[in-house]
Amino acid sequence: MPFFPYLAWLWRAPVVWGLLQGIVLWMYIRYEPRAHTAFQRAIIEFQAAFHGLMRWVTRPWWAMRRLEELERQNAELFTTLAELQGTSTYSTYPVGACADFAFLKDYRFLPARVIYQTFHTHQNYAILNRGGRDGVYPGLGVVGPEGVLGLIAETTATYSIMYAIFHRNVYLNVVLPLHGVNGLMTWRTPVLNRVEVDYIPPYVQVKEGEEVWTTPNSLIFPGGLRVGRIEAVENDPRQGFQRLRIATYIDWHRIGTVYILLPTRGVGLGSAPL
Amino acid sequence: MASVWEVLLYSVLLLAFQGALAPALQVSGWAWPMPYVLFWLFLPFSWRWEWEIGAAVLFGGVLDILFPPIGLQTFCGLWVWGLRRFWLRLLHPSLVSDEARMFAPQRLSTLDFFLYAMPLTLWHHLWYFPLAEWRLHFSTLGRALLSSTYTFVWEWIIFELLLRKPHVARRSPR
Repeated sequence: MPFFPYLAWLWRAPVVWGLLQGIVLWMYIRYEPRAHTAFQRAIIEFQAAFHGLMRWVTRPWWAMRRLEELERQNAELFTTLAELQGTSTYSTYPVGACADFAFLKDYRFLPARVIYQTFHTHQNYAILNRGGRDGVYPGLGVVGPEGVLGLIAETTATYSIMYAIFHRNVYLNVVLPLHGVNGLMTWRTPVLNRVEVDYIPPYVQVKEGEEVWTTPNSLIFPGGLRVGRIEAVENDPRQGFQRLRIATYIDWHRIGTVYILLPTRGVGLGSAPL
Repeated sequence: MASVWEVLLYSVLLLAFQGALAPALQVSGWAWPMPYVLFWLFLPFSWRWEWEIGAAVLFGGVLDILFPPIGLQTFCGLWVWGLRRFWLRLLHPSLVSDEARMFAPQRLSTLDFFLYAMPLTLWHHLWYFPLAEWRLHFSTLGRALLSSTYTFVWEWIIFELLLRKPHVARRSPR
């Protein structure tokens, strides 16, 4: 390297050898399609892995920023809500429980919290933190985020006792929406999260996996609320009807916020509170 | 000391062997003879390293042009050239630098030739086949092992018939 003496240290066999190896390997990768494709894929995978790593590393900061943003939005929404005339806390409703939204104009949903519930009896019930002061009275339906949960049996000023659908004295009129056939839902077999539907005519070809909804002619619930899915069909010719085993959408072991259906018009039992 | 013309003659012979005989001598796709590795093994140690690496790259480039893909032969050949001094020092630690510079592979005995050429040939093939097939599979490694053994057989034949100097005593440089 006579012209660049300060680069003389580069003019050594291992350095030149490594440089040449890199050049010819690059030429091979450029020339060979499989190698070129694999090289491009490796670069993309490396980029994706690097981005994933950086995302993982910076996740706490992003989460903190997102939290601050959500808190700010929440504050703005609360402000807007407080400024609106005539708004109440009944504005939320469980979308997952509603298969048919036509009834929404006749009902509003009162959020409630379960403060006690039974598990191992034949008459399971729960105590909710809403009572007569909130407009709750016996006979109202209660739904969870996923589906039908029970009905209000007794109330005090501040609390209510809700009979679950896993109560042997609770009978509910349900419908198979695919066939338009009504049946009677009971909890005869004491297994939580499982109910039976009787009186399905034998000529109806029911299949496992079909949904079961509340029927519109029920006095407690509006039509179109989800109850569960058919798990098994028992066709006993001695009975003269089919019996369905239903896996309920609601999980009695994981009840979060529940919603009491308050009628806004003269529908159901709720139209005539006693 | 090998002259430029001698190296040129070897290179032409090895290229001719690879072009004319190697396809016919391959054993059902599992063992390919590649005795051109001898070129990098037998480049004169007495040359300046710039000339050596230039000749190594030039020969690899000709191989790449004649037997594509481009770059692969040069890459593997430069490995052989780059490791041969290191390997020679491992085999003969007592060699001083002047002796190493005057070392001529043509003087090697058969055993020394095996110890010198076989590992470097295997190293060449262990780079060549996975890169050529672009996968690291047991069949690829098996093909590399079989081909390196087969290549060494042909290297040995060429060494004994052409490269070994008859007037030089067959003894180890030790």
